[in-house]
Amino acid sequence: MNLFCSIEIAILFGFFTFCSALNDTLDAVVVVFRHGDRTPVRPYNNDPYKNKSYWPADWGMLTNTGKQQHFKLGQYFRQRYSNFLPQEYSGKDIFVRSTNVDRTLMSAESNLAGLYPPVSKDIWNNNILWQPIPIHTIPENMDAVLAAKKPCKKYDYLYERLLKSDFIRNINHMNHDLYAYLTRYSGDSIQDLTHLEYLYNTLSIEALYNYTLPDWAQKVYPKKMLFSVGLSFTLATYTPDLARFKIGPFFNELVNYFINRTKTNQESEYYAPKFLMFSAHDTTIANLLNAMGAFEPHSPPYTSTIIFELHKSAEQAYVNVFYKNTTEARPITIRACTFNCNFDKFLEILKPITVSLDMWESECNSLWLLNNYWNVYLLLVILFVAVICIITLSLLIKSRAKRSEVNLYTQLPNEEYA
Amino acid sequence: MKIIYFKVFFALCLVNIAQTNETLKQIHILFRHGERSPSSSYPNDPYKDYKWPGLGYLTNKGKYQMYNLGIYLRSLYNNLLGPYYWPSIVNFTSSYADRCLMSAQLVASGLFPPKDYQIWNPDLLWQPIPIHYLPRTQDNLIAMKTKCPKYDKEFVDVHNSTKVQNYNTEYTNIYQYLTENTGMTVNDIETVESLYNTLEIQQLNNLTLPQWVNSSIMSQMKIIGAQNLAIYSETEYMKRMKGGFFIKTVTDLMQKALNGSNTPSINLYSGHDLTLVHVMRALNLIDTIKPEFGASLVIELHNNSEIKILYINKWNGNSEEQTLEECNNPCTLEKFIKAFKAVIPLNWEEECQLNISETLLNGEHLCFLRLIL
Repeated sequence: MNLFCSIEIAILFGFFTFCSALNDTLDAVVVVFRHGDRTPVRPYNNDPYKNKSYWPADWGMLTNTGKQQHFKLGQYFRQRYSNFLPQEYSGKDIFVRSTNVDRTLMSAESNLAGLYPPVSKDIWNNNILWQPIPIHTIPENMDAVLAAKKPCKKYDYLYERLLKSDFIRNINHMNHDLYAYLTRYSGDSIQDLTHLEYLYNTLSIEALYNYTLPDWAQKVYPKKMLFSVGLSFTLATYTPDLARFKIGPFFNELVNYFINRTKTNQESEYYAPKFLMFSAHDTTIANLLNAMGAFEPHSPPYTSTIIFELHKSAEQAYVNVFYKNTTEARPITIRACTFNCNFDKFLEILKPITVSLDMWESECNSLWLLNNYWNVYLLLVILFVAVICIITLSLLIKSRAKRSEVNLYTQLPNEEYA
Repeated sequence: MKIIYFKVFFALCLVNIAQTNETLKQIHILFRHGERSPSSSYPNDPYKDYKWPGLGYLTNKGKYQMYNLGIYLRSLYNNLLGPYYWPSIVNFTSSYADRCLMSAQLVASGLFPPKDYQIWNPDLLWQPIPIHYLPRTQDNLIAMKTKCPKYDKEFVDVHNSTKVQNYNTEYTNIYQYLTENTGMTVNDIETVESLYNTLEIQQLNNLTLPQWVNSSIMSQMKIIGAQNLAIYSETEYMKRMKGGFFIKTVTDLMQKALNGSNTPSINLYSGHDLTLVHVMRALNLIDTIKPEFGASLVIELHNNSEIKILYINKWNGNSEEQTLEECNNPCTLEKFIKAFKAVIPLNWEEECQLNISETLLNGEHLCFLRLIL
């Protein structure tokens, strides 16, 4: 049985490699990756390794290992898309976007150094086989698409509700002893899944750097923390509503880009390069996968990558999605749409978790009317209309009242008489 | 004897350099991007179909220039920079434009080649250095393109002012000459500037220019180009809203540094010729100038709170100390802020707003108010 299975897998993989080798139908590629190896974002209070001298770079910074990892990933993309992406760099082929965080910006740069080593007329200096490639970014508090950190009151409200739900309460209840244990020994206040994950993350980096974890940590790390860590990555997109607010603007970008690519040059709304690269975080990877219903709870490792490939043949357009968290990119199934997922079906599946930026903006702040001129005008108009209505109504009522007064005065006695 | 004198002199120079470098607390370097391809052409352009890497795109020569500017800056500030790249003390900000983002990466690679433990790839002496920027519409620091209604109104006024009208009368002959030869209507200084940019780049790339482009017309056009850049900061208010915001950003960071807060000591800004003109005009350093590729303005803060300003006129130029008429002997940060009070905005956004009556007369709001009323 096992043997049969592995043969089947081998055949499947062979088929997939064969498919990706058939690059002539490949029309557009979108990759989203996590940055490379970094130092802990912040050590915990009682951390024996909280002295900076233990670490090769500042807190939360990309390390040399991280640079190498992304350089290799860039080389992997170069190999995978050798027939698709020209070797010479052109801004018309690729657009790179990163969250506005040093380690993701640096990861993108290292990745591009691997993807686009200068050749022929791109070489500007024989001693440095590297070339500058623009990386686009936007401050996190303005970024609803990739960092997903632009404030959204509606999302915060929904998230707050999730945290107060019976399900999460039960989880916290179940974890009560673990939280208390971790709080006591780490010196940090660990009261929820998110903070547990932060601590796990720091411990995992220290373990990775071969530092001996304290005895208390070894008793719980990693086994007793794993379930909670995996779960913590699903929270941001736990319900379809949460997912739509958190990652909807990204899917909107993806979907519009693919739609634009499926059209001919004359029809397309804007010039779209054939390759989009997004440099982001573990949460981005988890959110995307979870929103698509393809997340197996885990902590997405360094350089883990989601690849969306749009293929276009004479008859139809279809999409393949891969998750690469090891050396191989594995195809993933999105809500029952397997390999070569029909493009229209793909759109249909993503529809409930896709939202345009304008919609997102207005829905996020729907409870907060008074934040731009138009709303003020709108409010003024409503007030104006309301005032007029009230005046006319009161006039009407008055006259009615008068009339009815008169009526009352005259009719009642009549009735009495009748 | 002569040799000894020379040696002593040389030694003194060295000491001098070392001293100034050791007292450095913070630097701000604003540079123009490297050589780019033309962003426009003209009807009779013999090189209309010349294969450039793209419109307004950084060329290989431009890449080389900016890398070398980085190396030169390292030679000036070796002590302050230290041997290793340390993200918390370095901040790179760029304009949104690709050529500026790329120029910033190149200056960074010249400034911080990896050494020892920072070498991550022995075959490639380069390391990634993050470059930050704001969207074009939100950037009032470098691209200076954030919407500012009051400025826009004042700019229109300047355009209609006698000064600009006088330019047009003065240059009638040049306009006519250019109109005849280029095959397009040239009737303002802005068009002359953009034409000059295209011709200059072609010349720099050893393309033989048409007969009518002689050195006399080129130098005249360059002057006109500089005048065009200057009218964007014609009035004190305009200076305040453009270069002034940059100066405010710099002085705020300097104050923080002197107060002992954690601020990057090395601040680099990758911008355009207009950025340099805005800042230098706000500081009253120049009247008109057309900055070359890689031209840089350095504002140094020393431990004793003294400010020094240097200008490097092109990517391979030498740094020259600039004297501020308003602030000298020595120019301390405090004196500096006082001296330039008039051009340092207190609240940029507020100062950009037209007053109520002007707002109501402004475009869309007017329509809507009419609709309501």
